Amino acid sequence: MFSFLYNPGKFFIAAEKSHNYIKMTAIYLMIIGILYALVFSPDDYQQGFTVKIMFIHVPAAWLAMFTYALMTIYGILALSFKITFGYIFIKAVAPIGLIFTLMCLITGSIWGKPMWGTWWVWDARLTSVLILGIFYIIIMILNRSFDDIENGEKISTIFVLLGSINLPIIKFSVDWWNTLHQPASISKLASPSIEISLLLPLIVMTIAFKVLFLFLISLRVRAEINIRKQILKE
Amino acid sequence: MSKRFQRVLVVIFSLIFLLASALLILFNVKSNIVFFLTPSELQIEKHNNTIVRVGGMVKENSYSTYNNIKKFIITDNEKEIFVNYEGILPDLFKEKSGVVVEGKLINDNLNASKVFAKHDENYMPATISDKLKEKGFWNKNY
Amino acid sequence: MSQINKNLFIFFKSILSISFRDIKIQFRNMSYIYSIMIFFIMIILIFIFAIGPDEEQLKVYLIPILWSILILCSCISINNLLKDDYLDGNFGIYQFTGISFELIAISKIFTSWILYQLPILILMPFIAFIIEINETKIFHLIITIAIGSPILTVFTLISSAMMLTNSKNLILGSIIMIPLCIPVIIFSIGAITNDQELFTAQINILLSIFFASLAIGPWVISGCIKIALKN
Repeated sequence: MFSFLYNPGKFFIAAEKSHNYIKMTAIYLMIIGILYALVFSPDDYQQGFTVKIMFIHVPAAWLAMFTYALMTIYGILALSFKITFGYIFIKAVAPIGLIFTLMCLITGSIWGKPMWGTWWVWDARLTSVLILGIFYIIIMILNRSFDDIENGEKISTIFVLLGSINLPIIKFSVDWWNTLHQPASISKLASPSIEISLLLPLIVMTIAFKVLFLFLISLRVRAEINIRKQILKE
Repeated sequence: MSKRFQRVLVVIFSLIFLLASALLILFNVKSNIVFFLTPSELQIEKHNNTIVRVGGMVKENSYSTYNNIKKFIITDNEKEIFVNYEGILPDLFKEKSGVVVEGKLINDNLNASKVFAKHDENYMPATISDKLKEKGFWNKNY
Repeated sequence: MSQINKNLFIFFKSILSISFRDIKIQFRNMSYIYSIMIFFIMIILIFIFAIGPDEEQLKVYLIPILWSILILCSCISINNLLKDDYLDGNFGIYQFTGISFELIAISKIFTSWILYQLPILILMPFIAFIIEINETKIFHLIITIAIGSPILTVFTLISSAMMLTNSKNLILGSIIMIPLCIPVIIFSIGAITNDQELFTAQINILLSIFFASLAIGPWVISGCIKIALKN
């Protein structure tokens, strides 16, 4: 039943079938989410209109980390069970993760200028997210700079596993050290410290980003599979 | 000496090392990457004439401007630091809200070169916070 | 029980004998080790000339610079650590004689630390005395380098094992290594203070990175060597 998650052929068919549905849901959810966030949600009591940046910044940051976590899981699968789909997945998905990381960093610094009073500070959270971005770039370079493609895939997978130690550091950096970045508002065990009228658009935007992410994954992984088919034919 | 014996030995060593590193992290109570110090952590004799970052609340009714120089007091309810700053303050800068100041410490005066506002993790629509304030349910711990 | 004891003895003896072989090869022609030391001193000189004769500024900046140069020095040796053995076919021979790659990795960590980091560690007190920082700071600097340089060795070996089959993009090894070194340099520079309490706190973290890298390092290195050998 879940074999399309690790079987390239079945993934290809499943992605092709669901292509239109995912695309339309992503578009509609994006429109609804952006309208809800920009027009129909109230301003924050402290930040005013600037709080709207949060509706892009937070989902992008979550996705940047989520992408890396997915890559780590597929990396473990690929190395320990010799599932080649893991290599395909890592090669296809790394640029998506990089884009979300950049999005998170850029929107964050746009928010930081009026709110904190600076574009960038070297505190633990910001630095570790920047390192996450660098890791994505290294994975992309590793995938492309070996004579033997298979070797490059394996080496970059090992690097993915090495770099996954950064994920808990990003997540808990705001709790372990006193940073300028505020601690998490939502993933606490207690009730979220966001008022419901601001939380709802954030949830809609998060789901919209997740669906968009799914769409991008299905596109890029299919392209990667096609490239491999071409290589095999030759 | 079979290869399996070697692997088992290396596994055992790795586990011991991992355990040691985990223990070292767990028993290390003092936090060590500090983006800022609190006023009570700041030791005036030690940090005198150095560039430090100090974080805390802006004390109520302490903010004043004179000739473009802004003066305010940072407190963590135990100790207080006087701050002088010349420049533009961020939007979130308010009395009784969090702030991080970077600058040179001279006795217990801080000549700030940068002021960052520290935002808390609470988000709330402006209308609701006004209502809360009217009804008197407002507490700063939100 | 005696069997296990005997096997343990053989284990450590084979690590040492592989290391001695590599050290002997390098000692026949010391030029590489000399060059790394000279490189280290030259870059310090360049920084001193760049900063200027202001001694106060030198005292502030030279410790971070020393640490950065240490990382640079580790970077330049990345492409020499394992490649000779790989191209000679030594790894294949080790494999046939019943030595596992984890053991080779451990002995390589040992060897490269002695060959490429120990000379710099020995140089360090002299350089520190030239710039006349106070004794506690020199002491802390030497301790951080003593703990930090094995970590750097493990990272260089990891990236050089990753680069074994890569012949066209030689700078990639350093690009892999430097992001891994960021926590090391943060905690070691943080430890070099006059504050004893802060020093122990930072050294604990540095030590835990040291143990973790020693635990994970052999597995990653041996895995990369295996991948390289399969083709």
